[in-house]
Amino acid sequence: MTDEERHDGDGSTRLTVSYGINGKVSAREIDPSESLLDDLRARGFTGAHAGCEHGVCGACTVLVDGEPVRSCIVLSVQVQGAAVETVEGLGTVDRPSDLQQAFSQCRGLQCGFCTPGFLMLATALLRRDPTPDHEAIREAVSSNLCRCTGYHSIVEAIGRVSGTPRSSHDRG
Amino acid sequence: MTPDQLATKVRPARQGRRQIDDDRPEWGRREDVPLVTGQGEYVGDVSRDGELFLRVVRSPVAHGRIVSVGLEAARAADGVELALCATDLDDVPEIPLRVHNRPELRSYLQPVLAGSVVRYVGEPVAIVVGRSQREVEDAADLVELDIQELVPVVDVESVQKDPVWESTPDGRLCSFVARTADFQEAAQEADLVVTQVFDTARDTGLPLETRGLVAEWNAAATELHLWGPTKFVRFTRASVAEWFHLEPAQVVCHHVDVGGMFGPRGELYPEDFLVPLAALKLRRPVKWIEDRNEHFLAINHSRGQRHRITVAVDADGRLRGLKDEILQDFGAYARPIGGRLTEIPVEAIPGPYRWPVIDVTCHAVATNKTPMGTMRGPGTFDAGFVRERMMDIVAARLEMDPLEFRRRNLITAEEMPYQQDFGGEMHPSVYDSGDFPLVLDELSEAVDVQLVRAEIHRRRMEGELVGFGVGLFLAHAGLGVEESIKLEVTAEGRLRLLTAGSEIGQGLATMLRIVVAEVLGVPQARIDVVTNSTEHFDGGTGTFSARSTIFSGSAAHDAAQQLLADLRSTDPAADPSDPDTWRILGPRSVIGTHRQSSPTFGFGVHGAVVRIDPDTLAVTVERLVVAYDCGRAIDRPSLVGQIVGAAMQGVGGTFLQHLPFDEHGQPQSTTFMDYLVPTVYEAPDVEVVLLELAGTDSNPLGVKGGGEAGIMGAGGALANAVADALGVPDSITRLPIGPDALLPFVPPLAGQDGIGPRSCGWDYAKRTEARGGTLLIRPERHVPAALVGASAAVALAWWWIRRRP
Repeated sequence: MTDEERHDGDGSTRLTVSYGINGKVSAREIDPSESLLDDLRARGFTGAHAGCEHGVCGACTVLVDGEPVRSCIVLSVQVQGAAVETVEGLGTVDRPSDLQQAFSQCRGLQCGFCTPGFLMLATALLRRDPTPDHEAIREAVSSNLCRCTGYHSIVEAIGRVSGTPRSSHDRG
Repeated sequence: MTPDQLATKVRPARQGRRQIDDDRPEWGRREDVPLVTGQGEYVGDVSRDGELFLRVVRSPVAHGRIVSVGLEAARAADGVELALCATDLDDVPEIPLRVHNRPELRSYLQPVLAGSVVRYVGEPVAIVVGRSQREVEDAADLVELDIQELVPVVDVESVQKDPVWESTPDGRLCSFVARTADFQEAAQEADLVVTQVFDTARDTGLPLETRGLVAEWNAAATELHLWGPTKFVRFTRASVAEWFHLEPAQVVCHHVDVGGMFGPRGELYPEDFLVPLAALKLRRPVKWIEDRNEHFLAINHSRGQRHRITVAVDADGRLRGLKDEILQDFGAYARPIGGRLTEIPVEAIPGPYRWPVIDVTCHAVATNKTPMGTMRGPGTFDAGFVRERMMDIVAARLEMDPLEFRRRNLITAEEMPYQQDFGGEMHPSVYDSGDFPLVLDELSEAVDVQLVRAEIHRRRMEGELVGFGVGLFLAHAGLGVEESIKLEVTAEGRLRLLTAGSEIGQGLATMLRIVVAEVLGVPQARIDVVTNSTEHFDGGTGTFSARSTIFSGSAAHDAAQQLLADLRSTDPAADPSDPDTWRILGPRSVIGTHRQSSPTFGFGVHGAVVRIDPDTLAVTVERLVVAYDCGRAIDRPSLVGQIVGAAMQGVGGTFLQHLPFDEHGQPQSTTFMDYLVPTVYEAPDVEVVLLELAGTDSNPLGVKGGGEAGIMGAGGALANAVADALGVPDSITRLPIGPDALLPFVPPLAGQDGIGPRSCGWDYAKRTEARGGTLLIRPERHVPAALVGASAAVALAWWWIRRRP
């Protein structure tokens, strides 16, 4: 890291951090205290959202080397050289993924602010386990907050992609 | 669960409606496409060339006199372009009233920056503007506030030692009185009179996106561009224009996506002045994005009511009278909603029942806390909890089935339209249509009450704590008198709807497309909808009070009919489904309008089954069923989504969400670690029974409000189910219901030193069981204080672990 460090005249340190975003290497000079969320958004990837900035709501969830992380409490310098995936990498307006469409079909979103975080949780889950049972889906999404939907439509959307039968008794 | 798998029911009144599919059936809503691909543009995503960032410096104390605000160090900090406080302004404007039903509230308006007195923690005192978010945050910490502290008022019933407002020593800022006759007389004639005190805690709507605003002036400072206003775009725009001596047309609100509204977001706040002011002074775009901690301090709070309610009733269950004295924890200032906030609980407390006499007062009491505004179901959620709890308590005293007790007093379809009088000082409410007993029957059928009660009985015998409860509500919706919308035919033959109304995720755009497609007989695919913007059309009132389908939908209906008439007069044989037809007619536009002076009343019932873990006192909502008469569902999946989402916020408000303050007026819930909202693990699979009963003639679509219904009866039903599970009708008197509220009513923990499972059992059989499963006799038991503390700690820890897997 040292060869990338630069000390400005005013005493602040800048350094260049590079990592992969959705398969393409990206380099940017940052303040070392910058969060991954702020850095990603500054690099133009605004799909990850700041809902609380203290690691609870999960609207900022992205994947780092395949694992979901809350990008608001990860420092950008921690992902130097890693592979970061964001909602922008899942599919585009013209070529959306099945998961993105399933969220829409099942009304798994209303305002959409939390949606990128849930999509990234689901992506990681389905890679790890392409046929999760209902409870595994619930567990995977239990870490994030949604204020609009009441969650069941989100669970249903993920289950639609994985072919998971809806639990006959999933109350409570 | 897809919406079409829900237990929905269509009444025959509106069958045979044609549904025209969009040509992109792979999407649920067209508006979802950018949102699921990371292409949404929320205010935080708006970035303007040369933008600066703003940080608000807020009061750290609840009540005090400002001695000085030291800005020198902040001004000298790196990257800072501007720092100012109230004394730097020639004129410090106030946040105006939007609702003027209590003009006296004009004496209690909030200055955009506190001048001589601070009245709540979080009140804006200064701003710092600079080149980066982190620099202005650091600089804001350098602002030196010298505040001489006063004694804060934190309780609505305490003496105001240092009054929040010196002009009003008793703190009562405004009142509403509804008195139709002498309640004492009614009480003396009644067989039974029951009094109870209920509290609802402070809460807030909590959109997942915090507030934010971007302001940019043109070079001549004659045009102000804003990104961020929502809800009351017209009022926000007019207010901002007046502050800066502009015409409303000189304030342009640009489209942004909105990450949830739920009442508080989009009201007028001090930042709506401060951000454009900074942009004007610096002639640079200025961006302000609230952080979550600020959000808890600064966005409108809601709820916060104390009811001292008395019900008089005859032995046969006939209601004789209702008395309620309501104290509302109003906060430090009147916000734009004004006295409407104080009026709603009075209007809402009678609910769907026949009351020969009512005597209800509500006082707005000033406190040194964040000002109050609305959140989903304002006043109605609170009143629903109080009234429906009271109905269960009275039914238990009468040894009457709580459903039967309600049925005897429900206003019937034959009595519609029904006028609820409020005496000489308030306008009556007119319930325009509905069949309340039918909706209650539908709920009972969907729940299968008999089966549920039998099951509860069986499970109780096996030692479980389970209960069932209902909550009935009237959903007044559709305020705001008028709405307009523009419908254009483009030169290419496409149709385009333009509204300053806000798509906040509720499905406004989809609903409007369906309405226009139905009238004109064109595919939805050829209709575009532009919302949340005054760029192309700046008429319209806004998005609030579950009014969008009633008002914007009806205005779109009017516009489409005008256009169809144009088409018919041009060419009676024209085929509306042919794109060429519209190409020939275009370009042209029409303005559709809708006016109605009184609200529409929907009616619904929540039914809930809950289980209490006897060891940890955690409550699980096993079932939550909502039956609602919506008049007519235009976009059924969106409507169901609204009801389910609102019901979940009701679960949160009943068991989790709480904004407490300590004795110094310091807010105790300022992060998501303190303020808990439901996760998937607290979320029941809400069952929705939609009824489409014809009858309302307030609007051409025959619709009633949909956005708030799902929350309105939730608190009452869930609280009643918990009290039923405890077997103690009087047990639950406050929201939210935490383990501490249950502890006095359950058996002590077993085992050595009282630390062990509560397995000694819950012997319902020892109690006298009333009809309907409500139990009457509360066994006296003494719980040592230490045990209370230890049990509460264990229960809270368990709850914490459970919801943070």
